[in-house]
Amino acid sequence: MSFEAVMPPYNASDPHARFLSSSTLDFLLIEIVPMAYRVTHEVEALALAEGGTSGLESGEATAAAAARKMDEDEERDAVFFRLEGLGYRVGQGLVERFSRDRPRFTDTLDVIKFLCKDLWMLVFRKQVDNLKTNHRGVYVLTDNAFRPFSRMSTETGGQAVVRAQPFLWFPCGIVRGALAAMGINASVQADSTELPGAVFQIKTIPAKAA
Amino acid sequence: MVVFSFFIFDRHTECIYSRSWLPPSVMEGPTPSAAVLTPTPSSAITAIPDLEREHERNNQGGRPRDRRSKAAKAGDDAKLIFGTVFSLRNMVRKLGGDDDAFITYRTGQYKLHYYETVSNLRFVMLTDTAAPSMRNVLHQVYINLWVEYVVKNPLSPVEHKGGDGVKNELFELGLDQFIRGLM
Repeated sequence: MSFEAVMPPYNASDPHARFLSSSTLDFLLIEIVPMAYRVTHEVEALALAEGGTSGLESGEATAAAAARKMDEDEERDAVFFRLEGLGYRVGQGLVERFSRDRPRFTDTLDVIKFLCKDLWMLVFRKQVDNLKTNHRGVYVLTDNAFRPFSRMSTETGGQAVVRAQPFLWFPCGIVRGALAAMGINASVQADSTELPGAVFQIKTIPAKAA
Repeated sequence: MVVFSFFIFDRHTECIYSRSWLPPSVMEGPTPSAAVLTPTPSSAITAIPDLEREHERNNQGGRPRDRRSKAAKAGDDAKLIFGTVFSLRNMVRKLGGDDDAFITYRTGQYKLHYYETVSNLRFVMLTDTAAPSMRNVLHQVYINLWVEYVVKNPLSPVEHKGGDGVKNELFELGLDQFIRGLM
């Protein structure tokens, strides 16, 4: 991607022209997932150590082992919330910055379209391929070539789809944050059945009900 | 032009990827044991470069080799190649200064091409003797395949111990297409 030509509105002779390597964002997005796992483990170890000092010496080891065993799902949730939270904040900021020259959105579909076209373009450098809605607050965004997945690959039978899931959580947060900044409360879930495709499901939460 | 094989060595001198484009039947050709039992000069005129055999011939000691699996043999080949390019590179630098680079050598049977990145990755390719310089090709493999599908692959680890993460589908497919396009 870094070898791509820079898009037209730029002037190489302009000394104030600023360029940003797109690879840096790629690397950041790659690293953010293992980082979330590391931070989660560290926080947990810390909590465990604190709990252990107050407890009995002999019971400490078994308690630690039990805590470790339960963790598969807990760990997943903890990492999810961490990544989703980060994405939420990023999404809010992005909308704040890039919707400032736009007229007010009239309805939810307008907002979703802005998300699919403009925001997707900004973050993933392409638009969403397909948008479906049931007109009752559920929107399904299909991206057939989700950018963070474009180079994702493992050995044959390496469970690439399963291992790719955590990389959807930060984008999920971005989507939810962006929607929140535009006044729509929603829950966002993402799934992938085959790389490099991804499907985002947005369920809006009516303001009264919430 | 024919490409025989391709190797990547990481900065810990480990062979993290190897690939051969020889048809399986040719690979098995003269079995290793047969080669040791009959080290006639004519065995040197086989179509395939057999580095290990050449090496043993040079040693002249010829400790009898037991039948080993093909994987073990491939591993030995990789080690041998690494030793060769490592020594050659050091010698070249000693003679020609630090800016000099070892690019290729050829024997009667094959031509070995070498490309070393700034990050100390080493790319080695074995082709037939008539092949033009493949330095550019190795550079292309590095920037278009290695960087794209291994470095920028979120599922690939930072260190590739035992070839971890290198042997992914996109990289293998890309490499195969690229090399077959050359042949």
